Amino acid sequence: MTTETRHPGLCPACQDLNVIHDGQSEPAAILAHIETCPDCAAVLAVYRRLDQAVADALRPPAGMAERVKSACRQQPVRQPAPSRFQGRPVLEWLPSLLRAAAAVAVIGAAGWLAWSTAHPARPPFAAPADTVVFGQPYPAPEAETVAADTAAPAEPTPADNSDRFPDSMATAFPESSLVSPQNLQLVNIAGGLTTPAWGDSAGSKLPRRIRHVWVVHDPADAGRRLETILPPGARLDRPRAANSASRNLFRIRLPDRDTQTLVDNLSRAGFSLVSPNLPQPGESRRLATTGKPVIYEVELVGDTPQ
Amino acid sequence: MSNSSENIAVSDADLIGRWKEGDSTAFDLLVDKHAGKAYQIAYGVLGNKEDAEEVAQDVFVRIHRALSRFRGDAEFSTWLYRIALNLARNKYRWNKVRGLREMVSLDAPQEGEDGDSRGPMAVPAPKPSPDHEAIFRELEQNIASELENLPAAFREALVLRNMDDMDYHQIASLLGCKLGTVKSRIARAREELRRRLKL
Repeated sequence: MTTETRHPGLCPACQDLNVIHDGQSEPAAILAHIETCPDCAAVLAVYRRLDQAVADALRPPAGMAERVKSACRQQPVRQPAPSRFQGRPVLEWLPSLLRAAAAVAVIGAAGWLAWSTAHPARPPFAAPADTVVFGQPYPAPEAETVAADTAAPAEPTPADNSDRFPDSMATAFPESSLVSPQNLQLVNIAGGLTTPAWGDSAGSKLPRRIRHVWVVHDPADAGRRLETILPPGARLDRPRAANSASRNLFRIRLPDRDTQTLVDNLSRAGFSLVSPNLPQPGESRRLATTGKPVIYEVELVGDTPQ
Repeated sequence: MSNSSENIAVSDADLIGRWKEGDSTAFDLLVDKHAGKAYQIAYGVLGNKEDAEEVAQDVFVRIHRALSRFRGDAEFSTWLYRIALNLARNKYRWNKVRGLREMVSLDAPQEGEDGDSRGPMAVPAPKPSPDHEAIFRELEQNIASELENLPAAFREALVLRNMDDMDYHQIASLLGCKLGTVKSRIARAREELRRRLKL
């Protein structure tokens, strides 16, 4: 008994009454008392009305399911398409596959030939590793990312960024190069893309502490693998094994610019992110990093009942 | 679309299997079946209808993204409950940081480490009301606001208990706390509601 009773020594504690009311335990002595005690019976009657009122208050608003479906339909479809080749003998679909592969090879070769004709001598350059992305073709900006970028208040415009372009960088790229500063500015203006990594990019800054919930098949195994996924410079604090919740909570100290690499690594390793806050896998353009140290907390949740 | 009784008859595993085979309506059926639960869990944490619906939407958006990787060897509902609970708690923390919710403390003694209440919990003797029905009509009107003012830990436990008739063990597992903590929180939630609603 942890609680005071209405009639000390006679009536059960209210916690015991609640347990009986919820049908979680039915000790005969207490049940016998309740049958003869009008006070306890009245309390139980109040509990029943309270539960009914709570259940009524929990009714979802009308039309919510349709709004949920609508929100899901606006997301990019990731439904696995049924394979055309599923259930068919190899000899039936192998010729189609070979024809497709040959077509891809021919188109690739033609593209490479055209590109190498247009750019006969691509000069070597020694840009820092984190700026090399500009030597590669940009993917088309995703609508979601662009919207997030444009929604952020008081962000520097591409013109602002041109002021920060270091002269030493400009001389490192000859004008004929695909990655010349002029080309970069054009790409930025046309594509609305964020700036390179030599300054603060036009994105959101991270708070000092970020917490992400990741769904994994086996939290214990994922926790063991976590250390191998960390980017260099990140430090993992071992969780205290006080209870099941803290066993699956890992704290990682790292510079904010490495958090994107970390979430990308986790995503590639099969972890599934459920938290909506930044950084999100594959969305580095939404981040502005300054190199400040941050604490990134990983909460691992299993996809199996425990 | 199928009717709701048919939805309930189809298992989650079947619906997920159908969705993976390209049947896009199967996801709608999963929403019909579980959106209410996601909402109720979120409401239990947040105590606010608008926020709870926002979280319920986010839960299914996340599930929509991740469902192709769901292997189906686990209970879908357990997975969904955990996601809903975590997203709702994230939202609760976010609201708290932004000062959107006032934290209400109880005068009652605090829980101990093991979750049991340390001090006595006095139960007021029930007083017969001259007009019981009027009191309970008022109760139904006031319960939502009083639920909102309950401390989140108590509200979570009471809402889960009233949602789908979860037993104490399931609630303890979902909340990641001990059985004694669940017993204590549910009892204190009901007693606090009784006190506030003057029942």
